[in-house]
Amino acid sequence: MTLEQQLRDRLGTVDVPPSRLDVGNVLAAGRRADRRRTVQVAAGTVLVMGALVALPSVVFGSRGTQHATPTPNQSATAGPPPSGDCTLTKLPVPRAMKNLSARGVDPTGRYIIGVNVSGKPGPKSDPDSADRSQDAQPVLWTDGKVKTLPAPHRSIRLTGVNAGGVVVGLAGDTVNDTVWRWVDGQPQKLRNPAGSWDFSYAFVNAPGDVVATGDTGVLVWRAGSTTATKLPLETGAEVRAFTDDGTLIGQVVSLDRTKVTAYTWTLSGAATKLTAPDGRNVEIFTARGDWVTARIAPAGAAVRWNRKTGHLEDLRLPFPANGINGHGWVVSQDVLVKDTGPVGLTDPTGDFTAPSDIADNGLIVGILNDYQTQNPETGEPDNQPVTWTCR
Amino acid sequence: MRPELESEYVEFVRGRLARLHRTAYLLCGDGHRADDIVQATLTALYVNWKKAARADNLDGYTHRILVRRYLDDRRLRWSRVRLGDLPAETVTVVAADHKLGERDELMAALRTLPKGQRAVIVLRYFDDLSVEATAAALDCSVGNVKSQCSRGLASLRSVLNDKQQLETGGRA
Repeated sequence: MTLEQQLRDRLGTVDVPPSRLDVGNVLAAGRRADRRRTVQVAAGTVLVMGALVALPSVVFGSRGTQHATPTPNQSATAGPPPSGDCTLTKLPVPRAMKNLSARGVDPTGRYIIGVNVSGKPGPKSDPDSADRSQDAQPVLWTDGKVKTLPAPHRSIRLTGVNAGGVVVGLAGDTVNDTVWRWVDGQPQKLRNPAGSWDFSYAFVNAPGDVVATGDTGVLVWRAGSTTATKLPLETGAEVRAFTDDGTLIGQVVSLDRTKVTAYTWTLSGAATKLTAPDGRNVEIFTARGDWVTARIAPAGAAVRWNRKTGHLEDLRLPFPANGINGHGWVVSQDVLVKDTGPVGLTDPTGDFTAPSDIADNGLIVGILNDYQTQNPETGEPDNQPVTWTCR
Repeated sequence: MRPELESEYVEFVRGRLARLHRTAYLLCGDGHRADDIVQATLTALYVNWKKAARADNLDGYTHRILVRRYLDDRRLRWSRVRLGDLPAETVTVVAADHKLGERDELMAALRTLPKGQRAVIVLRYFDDLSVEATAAALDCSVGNVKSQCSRGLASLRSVLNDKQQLETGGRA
């Protein structure tokens, strides 16, 4: 038997886990997306075109302006959430950037980070390197004013920003092998210990400490330092959130990736196992302050809970949560879940929307893209950076 | 969408769903992530169905979307979140079953390939796409598919050869 024939046979018999998709739910999802594309403006939703500079200070820089802390005792309900409480605004885009996403926001809502991706991923980018990452330029909005950050590498993806405007991001040609920090808009390369590194997350907290999860360990760079300390964590540790008091929240994934155990760690590496208040095992999506959003194993339900009060709530989200703020408001694909229930983050023209993060003042950042227009170079709809402000 | 168009779409999905899920799983190695890739692919297909249904090669068009979703999965923050959790009992069963163990070995070997190379291998040897159709799905040159295929096969050779040696009694 030839090598090719062996491969054909064996690929056809690989044990594939059961799918949760069927024709019915695929069709329903298609119809929902199509409705979003074609249905007229939902009542009360306002699309504000143009720059954000004119927005009142309640949106940006309003450290003192906060929503009342919710007491989330009402379960999110299934079915399409109502829309109409949120205002979508397009962020200003630097000239020549056509595929710009807003990726994160600091807790005050003053700073928003973005990434403009250009070129194609995969083979055509470079025939000699099938996995060469796309070009990506870092962008920072401060009080709604956009600025392209100095880029020391052709492919940089910003992943975190703190209330002081310190930004962190990952760079690399095929893998993210370097962490960068921008202070007052100037880039600093954060040095790795010896060895090869592939980073998946980097966070910066209020004091300016940076934490990044690599494939071979978790590194910390203290504020002002470019020298890393490798934390003494179990193999497979992944940090998913870094709170302002220096707590790392994440999990240890077993080598065969079949078992996840959540932990909090101190910056010296002391570990405390983290389970949901009802004792079930969890997989962390993200966290801020005392609030955590996670998947409960093994059912896959998305929950939020407050580590201090122990309050646990099933959000019944069909997708993972992308962000949570200091009041427990959660954003997932095209939905915000407040204390009072879900609110649709739809676009009046029906374009696809995806929120990526939420500030403590309720400002949500994310992307809008249009299935109708495909970038001829990438074959994908281009992203536009947007914010939502919700009542 | 008009009912007759939607019926065509449903018919297409019914015939392809299981295979698309398997393709996505071979690419990403995670059942839940595979569901997300397939869901996103078929949603995009539904929205563009009027145009897609007229494509000369609808399967090629669909594979192109699916592979793009897989290759470009770093766009959202949660793209690296594992979307599932296997109960411990399942792991025990897999380890105890020799054949399943072999399949796991192949999945582990696939995971070591660069993403583009893995896509070439899966499209060529699971979906049985020709070199030209694979190039079209990946939007790259025929020469690139051939070279990636050759490198991928070379990397997988040891896993496949070990299996062959078991079957032939380990003859040299």
